[in-house]
Amino acid sequence: MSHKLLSLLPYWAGILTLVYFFYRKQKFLAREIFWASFRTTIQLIFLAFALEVIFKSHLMIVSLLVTLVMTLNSSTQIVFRSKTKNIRLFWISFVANAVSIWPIAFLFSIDESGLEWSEPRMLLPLMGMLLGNTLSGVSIGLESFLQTFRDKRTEILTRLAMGATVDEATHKVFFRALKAGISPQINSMISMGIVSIPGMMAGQLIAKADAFDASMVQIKMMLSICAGTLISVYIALKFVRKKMFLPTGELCFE
Amino acid sequence: MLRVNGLKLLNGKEISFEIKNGEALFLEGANGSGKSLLLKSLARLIPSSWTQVTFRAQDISTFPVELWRSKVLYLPPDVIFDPELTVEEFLEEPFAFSLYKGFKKVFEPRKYLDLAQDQMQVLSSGQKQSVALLRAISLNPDVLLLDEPFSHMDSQKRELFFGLLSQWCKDGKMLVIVSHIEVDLAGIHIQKIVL
Repeated sequence: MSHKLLSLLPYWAGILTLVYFFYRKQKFLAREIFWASFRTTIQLIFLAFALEVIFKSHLMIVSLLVTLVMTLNSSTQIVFRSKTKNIRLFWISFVANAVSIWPIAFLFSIDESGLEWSEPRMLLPLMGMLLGNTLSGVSIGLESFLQTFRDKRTEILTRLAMGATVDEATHKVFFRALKAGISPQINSMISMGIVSIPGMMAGQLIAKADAFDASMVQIKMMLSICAGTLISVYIALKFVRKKMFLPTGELCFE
Repeated sequence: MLRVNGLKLLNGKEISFEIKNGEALFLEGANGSGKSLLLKSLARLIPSSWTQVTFRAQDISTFPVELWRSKVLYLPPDVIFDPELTVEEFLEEPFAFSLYKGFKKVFEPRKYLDLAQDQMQVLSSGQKQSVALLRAISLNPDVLLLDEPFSHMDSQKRELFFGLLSQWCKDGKMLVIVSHIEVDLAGIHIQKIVL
């Protein structure tokens, strides 16, 4: 254990050198770099301890409980990142994530691990990858929708006044937000393999896995993240849009 | 006839009135008195409550909200549009809504337009108001709720629309207007309400 921790020393020495260098020029940036590096180190070490314990279990209920906690955490992050606090973003994000990510993660795990799919060691890393990547998509999509809805409120009201349905009146705002939410994923998929090698595939290659096998898993992961993000953002936007109107169709006041 | 009984606005005011076919109603009051609120509430665009609202003896609650809005059509004071739209696209935009499927146009707005430009965003404020008002009329509502519709128009344009709206009322339609500019609707019975 201790020699594993000691192996981090050269990396920390590099970061501390940079922090020292930038501290004289830009104290705020240096503090941010230090804080982020510190947090990622501590969080991942704690994660490793937690996973050691969790992975000892082979029970599906453990997987599901940890999945639930991860999804709740993801929803908390989405609320934390949003400027809008007056809508039930937490539950909206939770339902959107649960409906879209859970089935995809289950199917992915069945495909990769067969009968052992529900074991924490198999399911939880996939769940983490999917939830983590979807989180920013949902966050960006919701923020874009709420901001554009505020900016274009009169335009939406004008369309409603002429007899447009809610779908028709908010069509542009809705799909602009959906595009904003999925765009980072699309950009990442386009540059994948040409500009970048994703962390998961790089990890497998460093661990001396077969390049083709690593590539296949990565492709499945990218497609799953894309599908999960798209469905998740779509569901979240549907819910949020509904919250902007009364059940009888009137625009809610801000 | 549009009969409004106990329409309660978001600012707490409660309004009752009725307009017969072919009549107009002017809403007067200081800034912030709730004139625009009343129009938006009547168009069911914002939350409000009422004791009873009937249109041609039919209760408001029996209309699907989109149908109600197309019959009791609100025109906001600011003309907001997608900056990429041409005038033609702006005029045609609402006809893409499902409600207007199979709609027969009875009013030709282009007859009243003499524009050198075809992009909405290069029009003057008065021209934009004219196009928006003509578009609203072309949707053939039964009641037009106009919120400061003439504020940017020159006197010539105003006269044109006074004539158009007078004729429109004579055809049995109804008008509710908020305007700080004197409106002259010749031959039309006009009620006034001060908020």
